[in-house]
Amino acid sequence: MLLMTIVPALFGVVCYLVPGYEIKKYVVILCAIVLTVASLLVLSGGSQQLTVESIGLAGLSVPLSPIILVLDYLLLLAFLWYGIKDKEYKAVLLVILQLIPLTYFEFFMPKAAHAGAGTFVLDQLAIVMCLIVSIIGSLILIYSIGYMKEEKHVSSFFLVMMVFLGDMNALMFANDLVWLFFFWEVTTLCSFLLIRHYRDDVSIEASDRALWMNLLGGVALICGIVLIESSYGTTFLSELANLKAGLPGFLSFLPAAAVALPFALLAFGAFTKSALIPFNSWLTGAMVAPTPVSALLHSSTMVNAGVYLLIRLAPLIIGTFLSTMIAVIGGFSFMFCALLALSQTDSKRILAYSTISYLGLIAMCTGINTGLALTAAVALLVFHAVSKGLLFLCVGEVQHDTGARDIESMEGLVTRMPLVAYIMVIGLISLMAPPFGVFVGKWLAFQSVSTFTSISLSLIDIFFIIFGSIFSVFYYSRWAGKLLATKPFSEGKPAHHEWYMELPLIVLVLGVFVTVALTTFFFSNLINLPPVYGTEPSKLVMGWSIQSAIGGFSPLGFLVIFLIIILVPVLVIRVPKTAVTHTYACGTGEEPELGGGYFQSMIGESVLLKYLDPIGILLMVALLVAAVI
Amino acid sequence: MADNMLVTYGVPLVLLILSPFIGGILIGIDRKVTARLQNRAGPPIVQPFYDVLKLFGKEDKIVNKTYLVFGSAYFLTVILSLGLLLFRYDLLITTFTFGLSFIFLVLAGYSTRSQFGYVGATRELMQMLTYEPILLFTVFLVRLVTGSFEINSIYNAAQPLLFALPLALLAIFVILPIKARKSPFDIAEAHQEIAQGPETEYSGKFLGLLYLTHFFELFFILWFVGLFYVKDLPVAGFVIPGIAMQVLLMLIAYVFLIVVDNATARLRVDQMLKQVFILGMILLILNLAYIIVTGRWIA
Amino acid sequence: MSLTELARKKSPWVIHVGSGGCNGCDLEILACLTPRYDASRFGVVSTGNPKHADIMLVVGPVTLKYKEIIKNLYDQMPDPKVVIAVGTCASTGGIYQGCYGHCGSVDRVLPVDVYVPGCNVRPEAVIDGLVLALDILNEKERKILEDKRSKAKGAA
Repeated sequence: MLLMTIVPALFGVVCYLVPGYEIKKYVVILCAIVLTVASLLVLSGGSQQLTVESIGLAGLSVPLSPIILVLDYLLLLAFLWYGIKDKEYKAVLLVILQLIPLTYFEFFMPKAAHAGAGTFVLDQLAIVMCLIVSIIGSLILIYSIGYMKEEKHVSSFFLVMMVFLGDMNALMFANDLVWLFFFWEVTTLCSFLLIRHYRDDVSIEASDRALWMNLLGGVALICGIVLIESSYGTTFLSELANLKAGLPGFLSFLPAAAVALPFALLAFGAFTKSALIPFNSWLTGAMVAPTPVSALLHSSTMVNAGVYLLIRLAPLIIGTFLSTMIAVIGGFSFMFCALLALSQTDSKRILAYSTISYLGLIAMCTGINTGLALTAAVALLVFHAVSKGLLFLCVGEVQHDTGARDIESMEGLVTRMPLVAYIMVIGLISLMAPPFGVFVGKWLAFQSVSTFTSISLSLIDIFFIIFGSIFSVFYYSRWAGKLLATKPFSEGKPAHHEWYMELPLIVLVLGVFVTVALTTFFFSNLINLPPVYGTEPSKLVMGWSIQSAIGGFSPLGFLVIFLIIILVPVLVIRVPKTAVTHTYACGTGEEPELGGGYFQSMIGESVLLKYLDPIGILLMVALLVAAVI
Repeated sequence: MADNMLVTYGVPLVLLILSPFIGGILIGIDRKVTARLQNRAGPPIVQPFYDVLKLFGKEDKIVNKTYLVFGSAYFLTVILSLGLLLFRYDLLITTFTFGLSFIFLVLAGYSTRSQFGYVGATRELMQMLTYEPILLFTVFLVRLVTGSFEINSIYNAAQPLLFALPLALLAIFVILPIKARKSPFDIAEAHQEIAQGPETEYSGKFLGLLYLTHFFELFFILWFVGLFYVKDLPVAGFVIPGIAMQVLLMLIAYVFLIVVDNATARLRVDQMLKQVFILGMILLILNLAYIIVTGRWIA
Repeated sequence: MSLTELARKKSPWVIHVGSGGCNGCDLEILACLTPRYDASRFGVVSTGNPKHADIMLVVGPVTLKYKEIIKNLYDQMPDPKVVIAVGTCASTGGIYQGCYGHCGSVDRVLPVDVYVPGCNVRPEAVIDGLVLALDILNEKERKILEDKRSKAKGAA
């Protein structure tokens, strides 16, 4: 398991030092292979708990906690330096706000001794997340070899990417909340450095915005950790479920239910990391970064850290009003970010908004907090990461080859770049259609939304989920249709192949199909819920179909039928040369310019965000208030 | 056991095979009645079948292969969703599969790269935007009342759906013209405006396939309406079987479609969105409140 | 007569092309669809789309600007197809004979199968021409199939 965390970082340092692009390539490929193999080893190892209190280095045993503490302070000082350098005083203020609770926690708080809990926990959820991070991360590393061929600052790019991969794995495994906080802030640093890769004004501004929003989340996180330590006496996630909580002395003026307050603060931190409304602007601004960054950090892995934390916290807040509030915030982001994505023409912004919207859906599922809903959340997490990473990589390749990001310029791409375009169409369909994985997650989410035991605010989730899914169908179909629109008498010219970039695409698209086929296997073996929920996802699986008490569906069967429906016409239909003719166009034989339908005056960013941001801020305030009611 | 299998698998199979014929005859009756209302003779009732057979006998004129693939996929997916509905699968999955068929039609419309296909496909997406929320919400309400998404539970419920969800049925009636491509909501195929919309570039056999698909679609939506009353009705001494009540409800929906088609003119897209949303959502929220207040919902 | 041939006779779909002229015959063709003359009892549907149509009703002498367009529309119609020249102007040039700016009659541009004279043409004459065209459709299809068979035999 140490391979997962330390070795990528070491590889990154090696890559940084090695001169010349050719050798760097091989270092990166080696790192990718090691990472993949290690993750499969972890999968086969099964769930376990590890206690790593210290690293043995050349006979000396160095305790880890102080190292992490020192690194924490260094990190915060680095943020401080960057904030002052860029004159981003919000960041400076937030760093100071983080330093205060951290110092109080480490040096002044009376801490109870805790023993018996492992510092790293490798349960099913962590293994699944580790698989996603490693496999998709490795593929993206290989992809970026081809992408970054002629770019500058390549060595620092690969260094930060590999350090990030190692850190992300460590975040998944961490059980101690303090260590999780450290890894969390490292991801903020990595994201900050990667967004400003191009070093121009737009990038620097976007990275500063990402910095202060994530630091805001970090403040909430550290305050939450302090409160947890004082309420529960421990910061180990695995122990929290079993302990009783008591309000700390300085908060005794609040009602007894306020033990949920630290979780509200942690949820706040998760919301900033996952860029839900009102924090969405950092993610959409982060699209100025190179596409491998967008694919890795901002769709498949880093933003998943936020909802991962929510899934971890979910068993601890079952049935509280806080949970309902999380569901409402998630659903709100789901619906309105889908609506915003409708109005965009820039493909990366569409993907960014749709990422935020699906993260909102996952957050909504964790807020609904039943066994079925959490199964839906984990399923969505996995399948969405695969499909969204695939789409970002395709968009990156299109941008690399044609220089344009706008979907209007991607019209008829199937003749110019057939492989990428068809893979993109498959990726887009996989995000909305049965039988693919995202649909399975959405279907389970529908089922769990409809299963409420008491009338509460959670009824509004029905509206959110219905409207959100319809809006996403709209913008995905429009984009997919644009890609397929070819002129009748056009010949496709053979495209040159950039294998470093295309191989990951092919692997990922095969992965989409394979994960769908293995859905039932995935449910029965890899999703494990804490016993407090009473249901087991493995009970949901009956033979080849997923059957809950209120409805059933067979992903494999539908996949086979779907493939038949698409492939049989593809193979059977022949277009004889004599039958090809012009489109109707009233007989003029002219090819019209087609476009439009983005409704920017009604649902454009400038129109909607005016209303959505204040509502978002209100919802965050309501979150904190909900914790104390 | 054997005749139980025959009933659960044989009857839906027979219905599935008969459905294009039933759909075609219904469309033919629709054209005849419309003609009579306009004081003219009108085509014979079996006219849709003549149309389909003629289309299958024509040569092809094709723009590219992509839209043919998606048109065939649309046809096959509608048959699949009708099969799921008749064989009593999961209502939510059936609704989503039905929606998938329209996604295929939209992709087909876009991939022809003609201006009529483009506008028609965008309008088809707007229509989907209008009716899918109401349809999904109704499926939710059905699940709340019967306790499960499975269609079997509608048949096993204590009361017919109509008693618990009258306003939802009205909301379905509001969106019926959209799905049957009739006035006032036949916007995607606005003949005088955009020349058949997504289907413009189809000819010959593939147009015949699309034409057949409309027969299946009509049967699907009528059968969906028929699900609202599947119980036997004891009246004045003898019992009307459930299937007759279903057929009666289907006929009521069908007559409603014809009347509304002849009485109204086509609306614009934004008018359709506003009116259908406002009316449909109000009806459904009232129904939801009714269910909650009278406690008829099952967790 | 096979089922397909019967269906072809029973369901003629029409594209109505106005290629210049005074539009008088256009109005008479539209009158065919009204309840008084009711062409739809023959199964006639006026589609605006050549790809869906069997019969092209051409009205007016083909102006020079429209020549390419009408050829394009004719090419887009799938076989078997029939062209009916409606009105005297479409049949012979009519009142525009000797003018610049038009090609003369329709048969200088497209192969015409049925001529319906009249100025204006009467709706009953249009329906008469349509009914004549129904048999021609079937003849054409038979010829096409025979050509295909002989070509396949010749190639084999």
